[in-house]
Amino acid sequence: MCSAELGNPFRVAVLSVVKHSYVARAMISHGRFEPVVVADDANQPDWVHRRNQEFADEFQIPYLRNVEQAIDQYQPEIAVISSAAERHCDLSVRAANANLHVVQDKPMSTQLSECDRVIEAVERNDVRFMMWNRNCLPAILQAQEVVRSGRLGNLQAIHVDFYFAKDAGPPIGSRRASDRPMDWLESLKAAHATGADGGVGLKPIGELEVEGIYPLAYIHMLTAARVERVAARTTSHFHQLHADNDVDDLATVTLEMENSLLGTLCLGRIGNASHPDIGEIQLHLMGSEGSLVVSESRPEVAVYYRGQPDTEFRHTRVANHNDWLLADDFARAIDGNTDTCLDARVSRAICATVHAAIESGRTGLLVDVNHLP
Amino acid sequence: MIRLALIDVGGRCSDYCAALPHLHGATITSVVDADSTIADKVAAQVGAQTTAHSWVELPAAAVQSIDAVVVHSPLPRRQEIVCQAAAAGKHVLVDTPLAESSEAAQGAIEACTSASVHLMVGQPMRFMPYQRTIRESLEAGKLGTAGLVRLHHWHPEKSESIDRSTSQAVMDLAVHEVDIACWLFEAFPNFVYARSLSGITPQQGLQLHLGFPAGGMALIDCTRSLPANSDPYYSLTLIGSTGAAYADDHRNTNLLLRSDCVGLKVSQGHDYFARQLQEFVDAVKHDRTPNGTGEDGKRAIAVMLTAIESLQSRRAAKRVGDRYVLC
Repeated sequence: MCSAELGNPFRVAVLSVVKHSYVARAMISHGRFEPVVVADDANQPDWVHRRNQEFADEFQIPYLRNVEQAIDQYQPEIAVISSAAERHCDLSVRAANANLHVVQDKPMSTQLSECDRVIEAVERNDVRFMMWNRNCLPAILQAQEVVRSGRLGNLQAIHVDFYFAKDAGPPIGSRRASDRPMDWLESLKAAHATGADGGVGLKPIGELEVEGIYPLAYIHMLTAARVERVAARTTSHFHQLHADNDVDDLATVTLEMENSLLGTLCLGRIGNASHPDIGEIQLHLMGSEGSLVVSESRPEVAVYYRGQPDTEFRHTRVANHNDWLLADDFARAIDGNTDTCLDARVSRAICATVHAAIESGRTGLLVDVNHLP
Repeated sequence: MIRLALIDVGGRCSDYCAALPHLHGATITSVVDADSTIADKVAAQVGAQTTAHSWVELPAAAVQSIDAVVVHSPLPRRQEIVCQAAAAGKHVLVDTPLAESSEAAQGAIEACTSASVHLMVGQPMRFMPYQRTIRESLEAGKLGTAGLVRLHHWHPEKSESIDRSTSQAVMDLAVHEVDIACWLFEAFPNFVYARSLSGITPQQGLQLHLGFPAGGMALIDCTRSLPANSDPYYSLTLIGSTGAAYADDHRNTNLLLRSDCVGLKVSQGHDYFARQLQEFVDAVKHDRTPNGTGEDGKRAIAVMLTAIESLQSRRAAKRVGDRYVLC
């Protein structure tokens, strides 16, 4: 019996939904979650309030410019957070302290100290926490099944390619010396129309921070091993925006993991022209008894037609129940007082890996990952 | 017509027989192998008039009639044969790796330069369809500036020769792939970090992380640990500033459905051997630089030897001037 058939719906407060709204929408689409209010801090800029209001209007629920008042007045049990990245953890801590279970958009935070605050608040208040992820995609679940079956033997290496084929404004080299550097926030606000605004916020963040959680969450799911040390190479290779703000849009990371497991990650926002669909996402697993190559996008259906816009993906993912499965997992975790599929501690470990990789990329040195004791 | 001698041809009879009908402007006149049975068999198949146990045992008249040699000698003897052939005024095509050390490679390069003969370091992977297509796309400007190369090459396991050192075996595992990365970036890497896989020896599994100038980067994953009767697996991705290329056996696999579902990899064909040979012949004929120079060969050796040091020390290496230093 799935959790959709158990218990009453949980009341959901959407705390700041200023970037892509798929996290909130995914939770709300599951029968166990009922949106009751959108809320944010009053001191947020107008564009934040506008987007929050739009979401509230679409779902015909109130929007309050006071998070604590909204919680007190509407008595939600869940907080779903899709704010600018630098505010993620503060909102999560406040929600946890109000005894709300939390679903948070990625990245966990731009600072490890903020992740630690979340862990403390979540554990002290004994609430459930889940980082949004893609671990329930059909190809990933298949990979997990193969690993668990033992057909690969002992895992020796895992390699993930996560190339995201989206532009981020003009290409690198397009700014004249007399032009001002591109403004991060303004550029990401403009990217909202295409859904490519995962890094929106005051602080520029590179693709390792924005997207790294997805492939690293795959690696954790399939290996259950922590990353202990990293060697990374990072650069701005494609986009003027990233170059102007000194953040990466392309990265490679060697991951030295527990139990002598070796991993690698190639990640980048490679531009619209570099793939006919959303991007190339692959996993390669090497084990003592066999190896596995997985295309994360499968199953797909290919659709081509006259006049097809260049921007339309030729391959459509099908049988993708990731959103529902994540929401269901969260409901089960609440019902059964168990861990979620990507809880605060694992999310913090992933965040620490990303930060170590960024430092390694900057310094050219191997960097130990700063895990909690 | 360029007259070729094959040195230490070994088990390549079928390769040469398949290549000959496609080879223009060259003929094979001599075959050398320590095993006379092999030499005789190959000579008969390719129409060569002369055989010998070794280069030095070739009759003087035969040596005089040769324009170029193709050296397949075992690595410990390779540089010596190259130098001998060069001293005799013969152009040389030699297998990768060129030599056991950068110094020995330099010696081979200098011997050929002094003798004013062409030296081509054979790298069959450069002539295979995946690599050729990607390189051509890069050269045509379709992909912009190379940013990232990701390469997986998984081989079935094989028993290791006791005559080979660990370093030689590790070199053999990944030197071709390192050359491909350097060839695509047209540079020495400025960062080298190597790790082996747990549970297997470095000569069975190696992971290389390379950094290139202007932010370029490569991850190379080579193993020799697939089950003994399995097909190898290969994939090469190049991400450029304005485009990307994906060459993957995964994509080029059909299905056989019986009691189980089995993947059938579609072959890339074997014309790479003929293409490489033709490239050498054409470089000699037209007196131009071949695809795969002595410097390319020396570069791949230097990177692999650095990778071995990195592996043993668990430290990365950076390029300082014309050498690598562990950091």
